[in-house]
Amino acid sequence: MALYRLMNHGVIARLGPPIRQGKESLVVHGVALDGRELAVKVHTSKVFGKREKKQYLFGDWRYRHAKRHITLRTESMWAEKEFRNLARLEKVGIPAPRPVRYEENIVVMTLVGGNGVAAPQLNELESGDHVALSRMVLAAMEKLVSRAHLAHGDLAPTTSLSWTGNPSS
Amino acid sequence: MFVSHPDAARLLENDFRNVASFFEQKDVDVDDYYRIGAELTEDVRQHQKESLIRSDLLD
Repeated sequence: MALYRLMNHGVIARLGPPIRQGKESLVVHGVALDGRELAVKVHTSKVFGKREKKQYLFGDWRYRHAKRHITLRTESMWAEKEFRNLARLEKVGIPAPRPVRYEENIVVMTLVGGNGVAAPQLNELESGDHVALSRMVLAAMEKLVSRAHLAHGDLAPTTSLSWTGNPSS
Repeated sequence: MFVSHPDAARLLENDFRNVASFFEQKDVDVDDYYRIGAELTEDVRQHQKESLIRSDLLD
């Protein structure tokens, strides 16, 4: 239903094949009305137990009142939180997917990559200027903490994408 | 997660360690990662002390 709503509201014009299956979500390729490529992330968390989800949400003061709704709304709160965090990244200028919209357990963001294919993960890079890359990553990490006041918590070469294009394009 | 999250400092340390070890394998000098990582982790610990969230209530 959430996907239909996103399509009816003109956020997504067309859906493509799955791009990546993570431990907590499925990412599907999408195209916006203006032709921008989108990553449609559907939270389907099966690996995290209730306790881990609660810890992730309730350690955040924005969700301090959410306890009584945990059984019904966890996935949608998870999506909302991701959307809001992405918006903070955009605000301070950290290279990351730009948030477009969220609906229930789905977060729509711009695709980092092109032609329906996600950019390669950091550990998949065979060659390249690793010195320059390491400086960029360090600068982003510093900005993330000192300006966005966020910590990633799961940052690793497998959770970082390397792409030379602009994520907002 | 916000830096005031009770687990933020520990996870931030892990983030820096993970990324630094990757670049270390690529023969990149990662001293800055350890230095800046330690500074930021200390800042985050300070945030946690000032946070109103009690980690013992999360269990």
